[in-house]
Amino acid sequence: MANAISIANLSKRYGQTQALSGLSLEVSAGDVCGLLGPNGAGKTTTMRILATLLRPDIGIASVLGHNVVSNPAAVRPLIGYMPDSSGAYRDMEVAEYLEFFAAAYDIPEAQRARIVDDCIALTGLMEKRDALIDGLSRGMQQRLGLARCLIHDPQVLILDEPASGLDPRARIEVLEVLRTLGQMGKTVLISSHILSELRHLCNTICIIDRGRLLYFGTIDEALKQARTAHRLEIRLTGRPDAARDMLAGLDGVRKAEVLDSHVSIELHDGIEDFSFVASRLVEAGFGVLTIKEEEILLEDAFLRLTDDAQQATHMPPPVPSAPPDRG
Amino acid sequence: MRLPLARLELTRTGRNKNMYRLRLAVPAFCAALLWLTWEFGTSRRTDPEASAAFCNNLITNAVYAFQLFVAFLYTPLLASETIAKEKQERTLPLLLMTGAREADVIVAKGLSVFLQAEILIFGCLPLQTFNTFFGGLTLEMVLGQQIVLAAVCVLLTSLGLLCSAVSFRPMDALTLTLGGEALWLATGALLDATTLGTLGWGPAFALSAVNATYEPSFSWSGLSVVTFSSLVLAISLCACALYALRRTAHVREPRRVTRRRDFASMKTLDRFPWLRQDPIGRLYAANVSTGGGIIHRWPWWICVLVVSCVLASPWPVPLWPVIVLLIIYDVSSSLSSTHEDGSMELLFVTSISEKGLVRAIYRTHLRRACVFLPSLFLASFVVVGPGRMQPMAGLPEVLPWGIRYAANGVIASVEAWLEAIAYVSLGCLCVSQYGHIARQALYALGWLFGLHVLAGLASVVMSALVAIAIESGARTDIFNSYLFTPGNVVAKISYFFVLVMMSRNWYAIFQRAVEKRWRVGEPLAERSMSRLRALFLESA
Repeated sequence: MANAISIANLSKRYGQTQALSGLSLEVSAGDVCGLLGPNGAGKTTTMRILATLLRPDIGIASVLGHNVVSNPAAVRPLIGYMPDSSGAYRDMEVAEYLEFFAAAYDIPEAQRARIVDDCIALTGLMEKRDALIDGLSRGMQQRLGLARCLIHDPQVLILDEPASGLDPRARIEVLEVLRTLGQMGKTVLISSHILSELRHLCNTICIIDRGRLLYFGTIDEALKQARTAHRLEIRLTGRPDAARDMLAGLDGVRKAEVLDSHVSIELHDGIEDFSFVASRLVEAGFGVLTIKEEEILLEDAFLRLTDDAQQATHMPPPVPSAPPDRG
Repeated sequence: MRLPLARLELTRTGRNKNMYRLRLAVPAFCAALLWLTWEFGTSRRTDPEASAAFCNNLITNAVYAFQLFVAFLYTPLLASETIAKEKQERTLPLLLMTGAREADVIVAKGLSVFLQAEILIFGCLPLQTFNTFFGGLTLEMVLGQQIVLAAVCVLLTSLGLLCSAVSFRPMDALTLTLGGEALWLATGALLDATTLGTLGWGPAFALSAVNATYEPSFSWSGLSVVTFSSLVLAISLCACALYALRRTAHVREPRRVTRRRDFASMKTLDRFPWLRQDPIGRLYAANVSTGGGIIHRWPWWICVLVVSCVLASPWPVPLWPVIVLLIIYDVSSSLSSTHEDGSMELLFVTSISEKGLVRAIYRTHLRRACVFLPSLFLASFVVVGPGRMQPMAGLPEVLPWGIRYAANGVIASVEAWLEAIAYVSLGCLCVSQYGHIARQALYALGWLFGLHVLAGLASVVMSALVAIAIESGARTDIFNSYLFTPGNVVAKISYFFVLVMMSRNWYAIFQRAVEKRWRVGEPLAERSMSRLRALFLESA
């Protein structure tokens, strides 16, 4: 599949701060890619460069084959950019604002009303159609920003923290809209701090820290990388502490502990078949109710990858960053 | 070039209902004035010529005052808000993402501002034609003045766009625009200020526009020179604005530098007990310096230098109003932006008492106004004092020339300082009542006129009373005369007294607003005219 977004060796410096440092990334057309990273990682800088609002110091960035530096005029109609702060003309009404941008995007007048209606319906702003933007809640303004991004039917969406500051319901609704857009075949590059939500939205993620790429690939692959060993959660009949003592003495078990009413064990690296745990428990007279592999959260993967990078940068001499895994 | 963007801008700005009201109200007001004057003028039937001349003067001054207001204040206000506001609200990148180029934005904003202003100016043309019937001005002069005003609007729109393009906040843009406008006026390129005293604003402007700008013999060439030079300058400014916009359009935040000296106390000013700053005042001053206007960063000697250059020029414009305007704008812009960007909340959450807080705010702005004091004193000694030395018929010169000169300079300086205090109070008051920059500026001017009217009335009444009592022959035109008659002295003292009392009263209103509204988080809101009237009466 052709790349919708392509970044190669991108660097950007603000005074003494190196915001991006040789970042390379490729997002295929139709992908929904999450851009993750701690504060100051370079997410917004990357997005602004892709949105033609910022020039990189070094490197190449292109959207659908058009270079964002040398040919921004060709890129702009192809992308919908939603900045982290939703800029809006506060003295305008919702529909009027969207019509303003529809006209600015040179959409023929005959089609504008229909397109505006579609965008309003898609983002759930029907009730606020004639409301002043100044009176909209933060969530509604985020939706309006999203509607504005969609007004010219762009092929690539670049969304900087679209769900930030929203209450849980609004966040779910906005993410639902984004999921729909992903299903419609749009390429979406989205940055967010709510990692668990990205898991259900994105098919690829990109983790960056201090302007460097730490990981790029599928979420499952990230979780697999983050998992160094299997952790099992075992519910059983009998005394949990006795079971823990028994399990702790088994070959292949690194650690065993009682948590609430269940026993949690961690296996040594490389052990994929953990059926022996159940059989040894049964042999020891315990009734096994459930054995479940503990889920590795995206947060864990994120923390582990960024922690590794942080340790690497603090260790003299600096360790070069890991080559990106294209998943 | 994407003219649809200009159309969109016009549609957007045209939604401002006040614009329509203003458009209708002014000609209606002038027409009513004309009719009333003509209908009820006592000399209409007995002396039609005198009555016509009176009507002519009245309409001329009313219409021209309005047109000058639109051209010299309203246009810069609108123009300086355009791009800087887009930057402040972060909508400029969204606009540029649509494929519009920076040149499109400049043209669109410039066109919408120019047309808004020009519609108001051109709308007065029917009324101005009355002047030709009454015999005051010729049609040629009226049309010439329209052309010059249009050129002025173009020029000030370009200047506003440039300042807006280099600024990140409308406040800064407005300050820069007004400063640039003052410098341009100071060159004497447009108004021959020496004619103002004798003719009044309207006729002086019309004569200056149509007749000589640089030399009386130029006649119509003055108009051509003004128009042509304004347009050329405007095009240059637009090109600079385009360049500046290309460089700043995508900068997200202005560079904020809080320096150590922002927190430091200035020892010179600390010698005065009423200017001394406590730690809260210094904290507020540091917040203001990052969030507010920019004038205070100018050293005082630069102001003096600028004033000296203007004074040394062949066409010295009245500097006093310009400096006063700068003080008001500095106070209003810095205070309102500090309030709006949330810096003030840092102080509100402290345990400091409201009185202490208000005092800290007020003293900080007084200290900022001190930047202008040396230049005000200079203007007082060089222009205002000597300007009031003219011998007046029927009044004796009771003191030697040197003493009178020194005394006039000192009195003018004291007056300048007292007025500066009054304007700081006025600025604080305006911000405490009105949040929006354009309205706040207009209301500030409204209060300023109110101040002068009231002070003038009080002085005239008192001087008249004293004159009757001691039969010294006091004059009612005391603002132009410092002849040391007892009536004039008392009148001047009464004027000072009125200034001090008004400053106190405005400060009290500002204090109440901070205590009762700001600290509890009530947003600055647009107030009704009745509220304005009540405040005015309260302060009076």
